[in-house]
Amino acid sequence: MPRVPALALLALTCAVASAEPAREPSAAEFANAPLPGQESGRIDPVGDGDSTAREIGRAALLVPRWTFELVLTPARTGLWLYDRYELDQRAGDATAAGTMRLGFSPSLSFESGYGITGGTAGGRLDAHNLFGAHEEASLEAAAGAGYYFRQLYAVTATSGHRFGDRFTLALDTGYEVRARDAFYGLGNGAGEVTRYSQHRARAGLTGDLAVWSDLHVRPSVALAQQSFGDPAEGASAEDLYMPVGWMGTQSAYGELALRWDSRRGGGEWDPHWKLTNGTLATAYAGRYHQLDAGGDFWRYGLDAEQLVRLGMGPRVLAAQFHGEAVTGSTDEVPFTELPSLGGPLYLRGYAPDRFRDRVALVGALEYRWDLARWLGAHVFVDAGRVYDSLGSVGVDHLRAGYGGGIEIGRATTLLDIASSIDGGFVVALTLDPIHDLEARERRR
Amino acid sequence: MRALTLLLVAACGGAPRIPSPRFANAPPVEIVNDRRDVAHRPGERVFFQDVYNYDGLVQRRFTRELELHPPTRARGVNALDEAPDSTWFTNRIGVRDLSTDELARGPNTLDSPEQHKPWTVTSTKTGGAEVGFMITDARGEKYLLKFDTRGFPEQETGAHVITEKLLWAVGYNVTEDSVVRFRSEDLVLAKNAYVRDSEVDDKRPLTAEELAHRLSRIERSSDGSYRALASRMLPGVPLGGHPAEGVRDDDPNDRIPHELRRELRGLYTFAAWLDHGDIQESNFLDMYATDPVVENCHYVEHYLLDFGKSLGVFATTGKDPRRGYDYWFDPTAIAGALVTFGLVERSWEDRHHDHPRGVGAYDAASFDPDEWRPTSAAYVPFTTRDRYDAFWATKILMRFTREQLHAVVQTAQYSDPRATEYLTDTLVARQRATGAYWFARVNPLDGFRIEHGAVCFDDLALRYGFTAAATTYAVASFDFAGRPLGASTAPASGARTCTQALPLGPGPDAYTIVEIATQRADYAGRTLVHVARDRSSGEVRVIGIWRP
Repeated sequence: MPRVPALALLALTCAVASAEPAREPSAAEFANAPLPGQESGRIDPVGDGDSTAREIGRAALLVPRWTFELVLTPARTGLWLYDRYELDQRAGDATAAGTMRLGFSPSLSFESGYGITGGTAGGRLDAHNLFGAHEEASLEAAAGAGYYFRQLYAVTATSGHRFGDRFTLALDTGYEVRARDAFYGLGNGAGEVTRYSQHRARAGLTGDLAVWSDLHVRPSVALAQQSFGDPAEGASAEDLYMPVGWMGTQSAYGELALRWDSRRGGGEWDPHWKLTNGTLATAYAGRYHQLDAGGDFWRYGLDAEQLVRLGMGPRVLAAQFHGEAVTGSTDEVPFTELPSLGGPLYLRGYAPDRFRDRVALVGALEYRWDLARWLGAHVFVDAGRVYDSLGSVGVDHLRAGYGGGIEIGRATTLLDIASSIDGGFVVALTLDPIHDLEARERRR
Repeated sequence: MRALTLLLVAACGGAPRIPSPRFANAPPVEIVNDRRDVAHRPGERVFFQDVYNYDGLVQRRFTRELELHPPTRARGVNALDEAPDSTWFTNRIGVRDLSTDELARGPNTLDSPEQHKPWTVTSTKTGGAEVGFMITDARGEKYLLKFDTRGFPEQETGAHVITEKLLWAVGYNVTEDSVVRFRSEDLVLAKNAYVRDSEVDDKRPLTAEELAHRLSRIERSSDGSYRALASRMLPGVPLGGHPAEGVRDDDPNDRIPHELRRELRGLYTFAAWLDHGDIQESNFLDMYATDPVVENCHYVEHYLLDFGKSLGVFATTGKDPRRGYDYWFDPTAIAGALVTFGLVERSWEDRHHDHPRGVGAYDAASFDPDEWRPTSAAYVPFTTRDRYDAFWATKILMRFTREQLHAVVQTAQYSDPRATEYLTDTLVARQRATGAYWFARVNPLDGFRIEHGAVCFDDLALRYGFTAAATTYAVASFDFAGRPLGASTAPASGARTCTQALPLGPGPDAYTIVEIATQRADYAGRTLVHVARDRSSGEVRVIGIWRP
């Protein structure tokens, strides 16, 4: 079809200035062409395909739609502010060298089950590459509102490459108020729950020396002070049980750990932060010294994890083991220092620290697979129990938990839904991945 | 026989078989005037990545569902169901001859800046984590220098120029880009050169040390040279990308909602062919341009940008084989993997990237032209598209010959000749997969002409060899009101077939609707061809097409 001749009718203010041929299309060529929307050539009415049923449905959905938009407006506004003011960028380049970066990470945790329901929200301010050798520091604060008031403040720092590539030093200090923790008594039985409040201050220093290949030596020392009291509401703990350490403890702790960690990302398509193959084995022993009263005792244990990459995604099978024991008697060891099971780390499906005694052993089998690049899922079975001595270790009366969850991104945010052979239901949102040794060390 | 049956049904007062579209007795429109002067410059649209994705994935996606939009065919098409030339699209390949030289040159109107050294570095690239520089060549032309991601030499630069040239040949507006090589001594630091990595950063001087440091972060050849993509600055004032839905309110020429625009909905099919998954508002750019001929006439032109992640490069540089197969946030894929415990193999799991140097994870083995996914689901025209948009796009992309594709791939200047051959083969394979798929979902007849009183047409499935099944066409004619005029059958005579001479409708226009139903073992479908007599010349001509 021939093109519409140019220069016939020029639209609006466009006036022909030159008849020179131009490679680029010109308004002159288009001047007498139809306007957009008039090109169909249709002479019959062009409907929009709508129907009365749709119009009725649309009217019926008007309020839900507005409600939905209204409810989501804060989230959208927050994102808009984040983008509009480039908040992630504004924190950067704070030092004269222009190499330090600051970051802020919101935090959220939630636990539900066995009568314990609470959430905390807060944030962490991170400084990366503090003095140019990849040193890092963070300042963290979190609080849970309402009935289960909880506060957490922490300052951590790591040396990065300041002392070379083979040695790092990590400082970890923190203060925590927990208003309604639960104590279930000692042993593997179903003890009656006692509520108590806890104030805990801690300062720890951990070194990590890479001695050969994936073998690391990790010495650590920590000072801690804990005090306990009745919960804000409910029955007095003293009415039910008076465990060792109830009046509070002041302690010093020194530990030496040998750690072999050959866990790596395996597949060419796997995200680099995903551990899919290899072995973790950590043996540790530490001496607990009570600064105020009571006797000293040893703590020792073993953590192990074997990862097997099953296929693309990646799909991974993880077998895990955790064993820990103390040498002192239950009359000597503060109840909070006894090995324990339950919670998001060891023996999932049970409430945190559901079981305490002198020995704790737990094994886990976990299957992990991908849902998206940034999202994974897992199902697990944990089995274990506590014992009053190594001599009584056996497979009778094992406790078992099972469940599954999802893992979001490289921050290893876990949402677990778990239950156990003893019933109950636990929902836990946590930033502590299982067998994260740093998480274990921070508990000391 | 079928034609006779249809005729009898129509004659006996059955359900109306001739749908409503009727066309003016006029030549189909080939250009639209969206170049009327826009006296007041439209505002710049600022792209907020997180808000855009949030809207596209959550809020707007859901509220749009609640608005109960009916499936709607594309607007902005002429009576032949084609997209006319506009500021969005210019019909090129197939509409006019494109030599291999012209294809290889693509949109470039100037020589490569490689011929015009030294280059004066005026600043670093603002935005994005990758290294980039703004330069001015010895002619005074300004370019943005972009580089390959470290560890993936030649991939992004190569993919960019190939996809850019192919999309230009298809009809889209793109930037003028070239693969270039240079040495550090080819760069001259401008006196006022500055660093500004982010829009919120203050400018600071770009020193020789900083320049050297940034150069050290990019791939360097064994001969000491660097490979880069030189992207020429577009003329005009940038206004940001176009909204994925609705129109730009401050542009009076922007009259068709973008989710209904044929070029934008059809872009999906091209993007799938080229695995161009980086589709988001920031990779489109509207420019407030001055007309090249008419003084003081300004209007908005619409460009596509940033093709470096196409041809499987998004998957390799991001180490994510899902690119092109799942959205980044893909509830369907997530739910499927969740309930099956990941035990069901997914199509992307066979994806390989052990290709020659410079080639991304681009293959044809698991390519599905209708299931391909861009990274984000936020671009509404891709969610409102239908098979007619895909058919339109497929007709265009099938026009590329292997020689033409090879010529375009050569412009990527891959160091390994196997890369050029592999990419050409794979482009052809995906092109054919696209054709085979869509030509089986819309009656693949096109190129309608009136010759000696008969309607002649191409059967694209036969023309491109997608079927060898015996084919006949049942032809029935109707007048303007849908009353039958006659029927016949025509066996396929190769790719191009003509019907018997048509009985024409009454009246001076002789308005006649010709229904051509394709019948073969693996397909059945129909197309309605509207013809009328040109009152000035007396010749009968095709005035419109409707594909039910």
